[in-house]
Amino acid sequence: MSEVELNPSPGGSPSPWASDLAFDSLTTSLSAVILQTKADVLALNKPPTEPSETKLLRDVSFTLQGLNSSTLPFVNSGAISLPNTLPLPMISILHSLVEPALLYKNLTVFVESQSGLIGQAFRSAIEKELRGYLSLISKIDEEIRKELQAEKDVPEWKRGWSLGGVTLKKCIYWLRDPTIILRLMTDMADKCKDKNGGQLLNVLHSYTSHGDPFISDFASRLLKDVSRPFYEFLQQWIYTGDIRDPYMEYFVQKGDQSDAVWDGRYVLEESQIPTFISDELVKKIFQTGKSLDFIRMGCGGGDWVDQYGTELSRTFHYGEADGEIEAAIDTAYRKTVTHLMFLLTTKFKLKEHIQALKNYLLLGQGDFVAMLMELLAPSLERPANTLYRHNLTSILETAIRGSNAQYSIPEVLRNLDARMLELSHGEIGWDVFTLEYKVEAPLDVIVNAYATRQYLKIFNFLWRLKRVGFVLDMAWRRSITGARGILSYVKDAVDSDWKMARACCSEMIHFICQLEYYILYEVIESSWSKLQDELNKPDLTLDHLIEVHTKYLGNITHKGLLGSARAGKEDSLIHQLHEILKVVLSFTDAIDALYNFSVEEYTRRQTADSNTPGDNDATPAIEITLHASISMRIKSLKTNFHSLVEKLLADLAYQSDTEMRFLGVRLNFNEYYVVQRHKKMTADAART
Amino acid sequence: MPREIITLQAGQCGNQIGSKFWEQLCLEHGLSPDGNLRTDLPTVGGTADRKDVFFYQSDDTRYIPRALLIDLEPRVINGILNGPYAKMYNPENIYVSSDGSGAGNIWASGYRAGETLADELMDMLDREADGSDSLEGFMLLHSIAGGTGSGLGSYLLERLSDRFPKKVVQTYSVFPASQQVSEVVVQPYNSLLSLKRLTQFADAVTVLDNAALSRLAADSLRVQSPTFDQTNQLVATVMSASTTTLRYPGYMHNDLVSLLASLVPTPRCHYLMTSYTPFTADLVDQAKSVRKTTVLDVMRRLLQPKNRMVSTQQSANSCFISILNIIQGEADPTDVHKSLLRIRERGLASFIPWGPASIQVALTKKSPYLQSSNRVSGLMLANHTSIASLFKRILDQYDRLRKRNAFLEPYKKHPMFTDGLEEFDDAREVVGDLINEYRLAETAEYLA
Repeated sequence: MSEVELNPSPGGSPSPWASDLAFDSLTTSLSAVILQTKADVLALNKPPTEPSETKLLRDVSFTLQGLNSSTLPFVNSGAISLPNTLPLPMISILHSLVEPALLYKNLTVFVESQSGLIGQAFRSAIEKELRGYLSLISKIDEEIRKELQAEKDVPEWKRGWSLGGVTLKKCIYWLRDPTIILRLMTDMADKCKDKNGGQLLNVLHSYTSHGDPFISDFASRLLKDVSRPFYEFLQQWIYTGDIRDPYMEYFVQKGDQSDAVWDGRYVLEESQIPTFISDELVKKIFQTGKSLDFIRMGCGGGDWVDQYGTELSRTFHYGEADGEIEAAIDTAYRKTVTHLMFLLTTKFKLKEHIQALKNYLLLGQGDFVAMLMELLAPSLERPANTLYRHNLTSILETAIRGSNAQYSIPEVLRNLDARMLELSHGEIGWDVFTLEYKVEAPLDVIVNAYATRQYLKIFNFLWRLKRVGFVLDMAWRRSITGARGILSYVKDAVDSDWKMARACCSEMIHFICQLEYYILYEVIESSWSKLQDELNKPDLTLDHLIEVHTKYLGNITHKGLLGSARAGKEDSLIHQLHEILKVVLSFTDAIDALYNFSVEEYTRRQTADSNTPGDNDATPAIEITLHASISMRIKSLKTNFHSLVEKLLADLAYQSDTEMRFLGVRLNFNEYYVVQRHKKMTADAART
Repeated sequence: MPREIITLQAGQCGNQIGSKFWEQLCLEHGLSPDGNLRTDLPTVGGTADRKDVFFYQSDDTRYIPRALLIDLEPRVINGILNGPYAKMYNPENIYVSSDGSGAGNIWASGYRAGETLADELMDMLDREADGSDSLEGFMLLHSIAGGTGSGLGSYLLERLSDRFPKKVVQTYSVFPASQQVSEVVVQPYNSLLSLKRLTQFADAVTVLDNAALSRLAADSLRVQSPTFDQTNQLVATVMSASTTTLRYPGYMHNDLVSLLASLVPTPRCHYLMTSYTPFTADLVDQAKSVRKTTVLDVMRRLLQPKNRMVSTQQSANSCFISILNIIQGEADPTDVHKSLLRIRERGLASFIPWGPASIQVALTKKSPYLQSSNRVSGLMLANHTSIASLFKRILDQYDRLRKRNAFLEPYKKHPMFTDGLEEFDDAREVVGDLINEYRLAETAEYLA
């Protein structure tokens, strides 16, 4: 190359050499002075190029505006055809010179493209820059025109070369910074072409941390305009709880609004979250708007929202002083969240209802539950299809009036109902009866369908446990008070049976009491006090409230042995418990039978005594068989109960939960039961 | 359906502890001495308590105790009727013998008086029972050493069992202070005859022993010889604590049956001992201040024999048949949990070998009407086999007296003993069997 440079071929033009020469001149153009001189010399010695620089200069201002010209026609928006007659250096110059033109042309196409609001803002911001560019071009153009005018006075031989003021190279110099900006915008446009909303903002935002201050400053300037629609969304959202976002550009989107009032009504669109807003702030923003919407739609608090919006509303800008946006959002958040909790607790009596759920569905209102059970017991023993709803509700009424439940607030009592679960064949009342507590809007957001199911599940178990305790207490009462009277007269015949039955009865009572204590205090009360702690925290949001309430129920079902992963399986704890309860119920039947037998025996003896004293003392054979079968039944139920409890204890001993293990300890406090080592654990031990 | 409990107060002692009990209940339910709700107290969410277990409402606003006050001599009842709480009681429920001579500390006179007054007494009982929707049972308050409480009390127990065979009968029975030489020489006779009825016709007997009560009162009050007023206050405290779960219903132990069912596994072994801690100025005037109590402190102290309201002799084999601790106040279930584990680790309580037994716990709130300096307080109701040592002592004293056929004349005057003293022998047998049953309950063969 350098050789070519040193030995310029003197041939005519156009020739490949020409470009060699131009190349030379270009390399030396580092010094304007040298260039000038050299150009002069060259101009004297070389024939002018075709088209001449003058011509090119004239046309280039069109090109730079994205217009066609005869020498530099656009092939399409992305390409310009350069005259092939030019020497290589000139081509090279033109290469640099037409770049902004192409970029400009491309960008003008881009700004015309369709997009969302933020996209439109972006395009308009680019358009504004492009207008700046155009005005620069027009200045250059002016210079060129002046120059061309002046050129007419230049000698013919010098024309096309010696344009003292404006040259193509000078144009390149002038266009250097604009080109960078155009490149930058092209780059941005390219990256943003398929993006909208927050994603677009994020692309732009990424430039603000560019190491080149020129670039980062430019990006910041652009963002100020581009982010305007975003901040308008934000303003509308946190001050009215609404979004008008036709192009889904905001990071909060409307979800299924047909029946959702809270959950799913608005969703957080992660991909649209601007990176210049912190996660914490996003959460606050989301909560604020959601809460406003809920206050308006769910709690009839539209007036409050309007007033709040009028009082607080302000506009936001990108790049506001540190912390100002955060502070404003924080104020809005606090105000909204506090007001929502205020509404829920005062107008809608949230705490009273949660307490009522505990009192009624978790059987905390002991006197009411005892009375309800006592009143219902006779009907519930009968087949389920003989139950009538109106009977249940009237018994419910009686139980309320007869207990401290009557002091509950009317809002609570209105929600309480007694009904039957879906019938299936051959069930008795106990299987289908349930209490129900209907939580009305807007609190059904907290006590949602899931929570309602959990409450029902817990109620059913506790109710069953209570019933078993109830019949056991009845059996105890019969056996103990009976001992004072009727049973003492037939001691010789049934005393050993009673001894066994009572021992078994007290064993079962012990079991039930410990289980009840465990579920009441270790499970419900401790979960309850955690819930209370959470409820009394300031700044409680509705989402957090829902979460802690769900956790509360989850805790109860889990620790209450209702929700082990293997629920429903043969060996799940709840299944074992149900088996045990079943045995206890059968046992109370057996003890009833024993009692009835004892009474009959007593009457038989009385009649025998009064009729024919003497030879009738012997018990009839049929009675003996009956007696034997009752004894057998009690004995086998006792054995059965015993082994079921031992199996349960073995399983409890290996629970990961401390409280659950401790239930095992309580049930076997004096180590009366022999707890087998767990099969699985023994196997594990054997392996190691 | 409040599961009402009717209280029968028989004799001097019964009426004394009874009147303290009602005073205590008035305090705990915010009632003034005339039975009206006190208006000078800040309104507490007054819906948590159930007054109707022990009170009924008269036509006006007053709460009236479901109590029968019975005595054969007028001193104590007159004291009540001249005291500040006089207006609270239903005058129709008060019976004082017209001759006012008393039972002369003779069981047989008391019993005989009961027979004579049967109609009148049963009328009172029936009226009171009819006034209940869902009568749960009866509570008899008496002492077993004197004449009225023991004799008339025994008669009442028999009749209750007969008339209300399915209602629960619980007694708070004050046993004589055995160590001291008693002024009533026939105490062993009275006690033995009463014990027979308590064994056969009561479902649960809370044994309170005057010696232990005096010791406890002396200890907590730092006085040499406490007055009856002071020891009776201890009894009232225990009674109110053991009925807390009935009066402040929660999830468990809302009725007398469920309370007793967990304590009394077999019909005869139904004698319960109690401990209470701490006794403080709130409960007993001038009680010494006790350091801050924790749940563990309370549960440990409850197990210490010195805190029991009955003095028994423990043997190597004696053990608990059952325990129910009623913890009042701000008790965290986790603390209870830890305390139980600690007690178990250290083997602070030994239990029967023939069935599952443990320390059951009921957590209850304190009355909102009481200002208490103690965070937690506790009552232990326990069925412990060492109670038999008390019966053994009574039996021995009886045997010594009977061997000499001493002081039998006053008994022979009454129909039950005119034809012979078989009643004594029968009672001795019943109590002897009871002692044996408790001894057997200490072994694994109990159920065999």
